[in-house]
Amino acid sequence: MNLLGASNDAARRSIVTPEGVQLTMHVGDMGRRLAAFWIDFLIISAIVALVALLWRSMAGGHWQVDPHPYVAGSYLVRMLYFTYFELKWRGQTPGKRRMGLRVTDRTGGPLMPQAVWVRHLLREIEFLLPFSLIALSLSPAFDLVSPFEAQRNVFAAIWMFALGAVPFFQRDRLRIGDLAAGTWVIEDVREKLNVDLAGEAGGGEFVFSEAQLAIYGIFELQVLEKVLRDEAEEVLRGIAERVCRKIGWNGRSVTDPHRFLLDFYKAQRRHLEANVLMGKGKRDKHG
Amino acid sequence: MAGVELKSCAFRQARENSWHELDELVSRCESEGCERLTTEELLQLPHLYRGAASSLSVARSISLDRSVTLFLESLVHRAYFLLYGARLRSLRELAGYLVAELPIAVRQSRRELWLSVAIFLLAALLGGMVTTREPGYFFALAPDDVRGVVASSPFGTESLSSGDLWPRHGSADVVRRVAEFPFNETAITPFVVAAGGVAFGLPTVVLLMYAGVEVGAVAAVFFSRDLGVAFLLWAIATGVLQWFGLWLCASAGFSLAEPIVFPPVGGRTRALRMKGWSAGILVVGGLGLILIGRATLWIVDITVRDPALKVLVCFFISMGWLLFLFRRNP
Repeated sequence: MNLLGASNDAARRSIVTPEGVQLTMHVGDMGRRLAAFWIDFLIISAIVALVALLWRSMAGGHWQVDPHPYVAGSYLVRMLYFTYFELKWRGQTPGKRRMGLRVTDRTGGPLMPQAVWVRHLLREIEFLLPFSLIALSLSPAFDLVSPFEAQRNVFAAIWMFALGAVPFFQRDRLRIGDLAAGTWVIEDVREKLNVDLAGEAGGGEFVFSEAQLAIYGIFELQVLEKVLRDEAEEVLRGIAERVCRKIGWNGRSVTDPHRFLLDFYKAQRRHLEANVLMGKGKRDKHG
Repeated sequence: MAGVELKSCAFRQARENSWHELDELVSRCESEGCERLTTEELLQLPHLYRGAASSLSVARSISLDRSVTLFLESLVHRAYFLLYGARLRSLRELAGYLVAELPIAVRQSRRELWLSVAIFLLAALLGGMVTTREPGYFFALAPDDVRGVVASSPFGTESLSSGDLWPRHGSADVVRRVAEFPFNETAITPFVVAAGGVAFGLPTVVLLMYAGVEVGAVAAVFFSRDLGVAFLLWAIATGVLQWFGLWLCASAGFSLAEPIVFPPVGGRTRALRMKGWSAGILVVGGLGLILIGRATLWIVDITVRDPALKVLVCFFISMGWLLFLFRRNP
């Protein structure tokens, strides 16, 4: 079972926009989400520390020995932080922005404030309350909790951590908060447009027959596209040799693998696109 | 061969400029915020979005250029969330939204609210009866700061006198304690009460009962000295907003608990989502009421001198807030 759930086909979900376009998105994997949460947690801790310092200076330089105010005060800061950012930045906090994640409504609707509120309210019982309860009951310096209360707190903490583990086993990586709010966390995408390989002028040195073009399918074409954009000379040479062997190339010898593969790409793409228009698109070399 | 253009290339060349225009607008919105765009640019946005969406459909069917498809998908994705994601421009708008939605949410969760009130009052009765029978229980049941009001024995005479209804500690102390909210242990209670709903509502019930019993125990002490009515008047005047806030949080908790404890026909997930939204509003409203209640107490305490007048002013301010927040037609 893939607990962390890295981005792959299993994480793909889709919604249909009002224009009738299907948008696919990938559910964010837990590793990234934990990292985003950690970043946000650090920022919030810094804010709380700042507020505590301010409070201390206003209260005449005395540190509050009682830990309860910190617990409750940091809750307020957390709630305000997440509410502000997730509403202002359309579902992103600084941590999520850094990790390329976004909170959205599961049905594709707008992200409502009440969804944000209930998400964060329930986050408290998943992680932060058990954390604080344990801290309160185990800290020896604070003689504030009776043994009975300490026991109760530990039981409560176990229960709450169990709730917090839900997203690791849930298909859509939904926390309890996401379930109640009708949201999920998806990967934010940002692609740039690369130059069109088939649009490049020139070429035509290598000509391929129909039989040779019928071997590979769409999948190989797109791998070839990726290779042509990214890979170095030596890799291209190796691939060119493999392609020659596979299609049974017996024309001119290949001195410039890049040129060869580019021509092959163009021809293959024209061939396959024509087939696709006819409804005969070939998925990959196995048919 | 070189001269014959691929259909997909021609398609791309024709539309590329509008895609780049949309990309630029969306990027600027994302980094600077949509307020920075001019009116013409804002009007262009939906138009360009629809163009990109249709390009995406076309590209998916005729083009095998993976770069184009991926780019358009990401572009439409980003523009979609820009256009269809609701945005609240400021905290004031958010507050206005909350104030408008709260009465509706309360009306929808009437049952849960009555349940919370009932549990609370029953627990208060229970606490009162127990303390009346066995005065020793007072120390187990009453909250910390009230314990200090009453002397070592619940029937000590020096700390309670009939004319002094305000907490005996004195203004400065009360002000400090009140101003420290939410830096106060009871601040955790409303959150757990609300969020505990997902734990089958058990924490909600338990904490409501704790709160009720505390009030009942304290009330019993006052009743035992024939100050009961005065105490009730004081408690209602000063505490009603905070209690209401707690009850709202508890109704949020019960709203969340309902689809979990009694799975409805349509499936738990959908019901949980619907209840979750109203729970979200209720809990923020409840927390807000608690804060307002504490703030009212604080302000009245430092501005009004006469104890009886304090109670009166508190009462009217609280009633004012409740009437405003739960008016019939917002």
